[in-house]
Amino acid sequence: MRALIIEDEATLRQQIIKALREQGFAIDEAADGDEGLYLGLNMPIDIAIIDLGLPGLDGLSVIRELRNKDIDFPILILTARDSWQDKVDGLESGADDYLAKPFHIEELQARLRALLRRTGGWSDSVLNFGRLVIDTRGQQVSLDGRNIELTAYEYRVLAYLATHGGSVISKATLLDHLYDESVDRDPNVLEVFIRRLRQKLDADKSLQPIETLRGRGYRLALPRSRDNNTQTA
Amino acid sequence: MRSISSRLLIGTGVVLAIFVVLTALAVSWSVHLRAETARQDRLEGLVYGILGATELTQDGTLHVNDAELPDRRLTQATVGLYAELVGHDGRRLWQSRSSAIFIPKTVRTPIGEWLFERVDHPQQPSVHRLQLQSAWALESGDELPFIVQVVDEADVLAGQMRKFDRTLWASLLGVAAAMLAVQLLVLRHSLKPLDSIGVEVRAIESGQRDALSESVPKELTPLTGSINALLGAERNRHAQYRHLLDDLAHSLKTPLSVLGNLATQSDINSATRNTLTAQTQYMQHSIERYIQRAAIRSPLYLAQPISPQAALQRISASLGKLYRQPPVTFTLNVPDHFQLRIDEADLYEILGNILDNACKYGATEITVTATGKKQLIIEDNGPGFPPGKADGLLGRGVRADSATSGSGTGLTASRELLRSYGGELQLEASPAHGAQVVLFFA
Repeated sequence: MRALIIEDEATLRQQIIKALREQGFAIDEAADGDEGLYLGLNMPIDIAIIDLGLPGLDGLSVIRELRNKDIDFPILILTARDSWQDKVDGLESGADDYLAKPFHIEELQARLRALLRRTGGWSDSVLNFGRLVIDTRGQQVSLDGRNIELTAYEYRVLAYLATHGGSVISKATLLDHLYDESVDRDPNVLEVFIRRLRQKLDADKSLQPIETLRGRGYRLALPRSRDNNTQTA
Repeated sequence: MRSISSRLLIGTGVVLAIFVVLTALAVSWSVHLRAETARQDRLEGLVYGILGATELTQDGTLHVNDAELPDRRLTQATVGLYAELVGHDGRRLWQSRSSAIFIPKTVRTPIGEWLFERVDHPQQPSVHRLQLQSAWALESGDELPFIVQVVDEADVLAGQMRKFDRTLWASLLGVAAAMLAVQLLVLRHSLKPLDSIGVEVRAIESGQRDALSESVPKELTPLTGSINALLGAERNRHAQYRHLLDDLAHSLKTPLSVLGNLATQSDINSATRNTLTAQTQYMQHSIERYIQRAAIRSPLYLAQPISPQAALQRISASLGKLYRQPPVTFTLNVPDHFQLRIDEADLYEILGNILDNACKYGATEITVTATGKKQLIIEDNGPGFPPGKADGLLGRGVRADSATSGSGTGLTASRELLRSYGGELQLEASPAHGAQVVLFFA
C-alpha cells in the first residue's frame, strides 16, 4: 500500500511515516498543500492522510482538487479542528474519515486499515477467503486455521491483492504500491515474492490462490467468504 | 434610584402646590383688601349722610334728623351698625337708636382727619370704626368742633370672607388635583417609548429579539443606536474571542500529538513514558475543559435565529459517509420555518454528538422530528440506553458501552451546551425500541 502524508509539522510527519513504514506502507510525503496535491495527482496513491491547516494550498482545497480530478483513493483528514462544523466541512469536501489531534498512532493505523477495507468493500479487519484468512490488524495470514509465516514484502503483496480481490493488478502498479521512490524497483524481485507466496500458501497446488495473467499482471483468484464471525476493528 | 416618572411627578406636585398656595393667598389678600376698602367707603358714605342729616338748632346744639339718615338700620333698635356725634369735651351729642356690641372711645384728632381702624375687645368680637373730626362753623365766626363716629360689627363680612376663602381653596385644590391627573397621563404617554425600550431589552436578554427597534422618538435615537451598536460589537468581540481561543487550542494540539506519540516509542524508559503520557493527557483535558467552559458562557442574546434543517442535512450526510456498514437511514421531519436561537457552531456540536452517538451504537434508522415550538426529538432503532441508567450516562466521560470508541463526553457536552442556552436534554426509551433523545431549546 502506498500512503500519501501531507502534514506541515515535521516531527509529527516523521512519527506517522515511521509508524506506517512499520505497517508495510510505502510513503509519499509533503509539507505543504501544493506539493501534496502534485503527489496526489501523479503518484499511485492508495490512501492519503491530509492535515487541514497547511501552508500554501489548505487541506480542504487539496481534497477538493483531488476529487475534482476524479482521484478516488480514500482520504483521512488529520486536524486540530475537531468541531462538528469542521468535520462536516471536511467530509463534504470529499474526505472519507476524520481524526482529531491529538491522537495515538495506533488509532491512526486502525483508522487507515478500516478505511482501506471499507473502500475495498470489506467491513472487517479480517479478510476471509474460505481456507485463506488475512488479519490486516495483526498482519497475520492463516491457511486452514494454521499460521503462515510471511516476510513483510510477501505480506504486502498478498494484502494488496486481497484488498483488491478480483481485480487484475499490473506488475508496475504492484511495485508502485509496495515501494518508496528511493527503493530500486526490479520486476524480477516481484516475481520472486509471488513464487515464494505460492509455495507458502499452496505447497500441494490444491488452492491456486494467485493467478498470473500474462502481460497484464496478477489477481487473487479466491472468492470472498462472507460468513466470518470475527470482531470489528 | 427613583424612577423618572416619580421624579417628574414629585417635581410637578411641588410646583403645583406652591402655585396653588401662592395663588390662594394672593387672591384672598386682594379680595380682603378690596372688602376693607369697600367697607371704609360705605362707612364714609354713612358719615357724610349723618353730616347731611345734622343741623344746628336754635339753642346752638347739634341735632340729627333721623328721617334723613342714610341707613335705615340706624333708626331701628338693632345691633350691628351704630353712629354717634361726640362733642369736643367728650360728651355724646347724639347717638343712633341702633347699638353695637361695644363702642370704642373716640380719639381727638386734627379737624378734617379721618380715622379708620379695627378695634379689638378682649371679650367681644372686634368692630370697625370710622371717625371724622369735624367742626360746625357758627355765624359768630366760632367753630363748634365734634366727632362723627360710625361703628360697624365685622362679623357679617368676616363670615362672608371666610366662606369665600373656603370656596377659593377648595376650587384651587380641585384644579390642582385635576392638573396632577392630566400630568400623570401626559407623563405616561411621554415615557411610553422608554417603557417599550425596557420591554425590548428584556426580550433581547431572553433571546427573542436581536436589537432595539429603530422607530423611537428622536430624543431616544442616540440611546437605542448606541445600544444596538454595542450589541453588534459585543457579538463580533465574542466571535473573535471564541476564534482566538479555538486557534490557541488548535495550535497546541499538533505538538500534543507529537509528545503523545513520543511516549509510545520503545527507545525511552518507562518513567519518562509515564510522565509524558500523564502530562500530555492533562494538557489535552485542560484544553477541552476550558474551551467548553468558555463556550458555555456565551449569552443567549448574542445568538441569531437559525433553522436546524441545514445542519441536520449536512451532519446526516457526513455520518452516512462514516457509517456505511450497515448503512444508516436518516428521516428529517424538520420544517424550514422551525428556527432556534443558538450559535450555529453550538447547534452543530449538540446535533453532531447525539447523531454520531446513535450511529456509533449501531442504529440504522434515525428520525429527527421537530415538535412544538422549540423541541427536537431524535429517535433511533439502536440498542437504546441500559434500563434505569439513562441519567447516569450524562455524567462526564461515561459511556454506555466501553467497547465502542469515543471519549464518552458527547451527550454530556450536548447537554451542557443546551443548558447554557437555558434548554435541556432528556434521555428516554424510543417507541422503536432504541434510544430517544429529547432536546428542549430555550
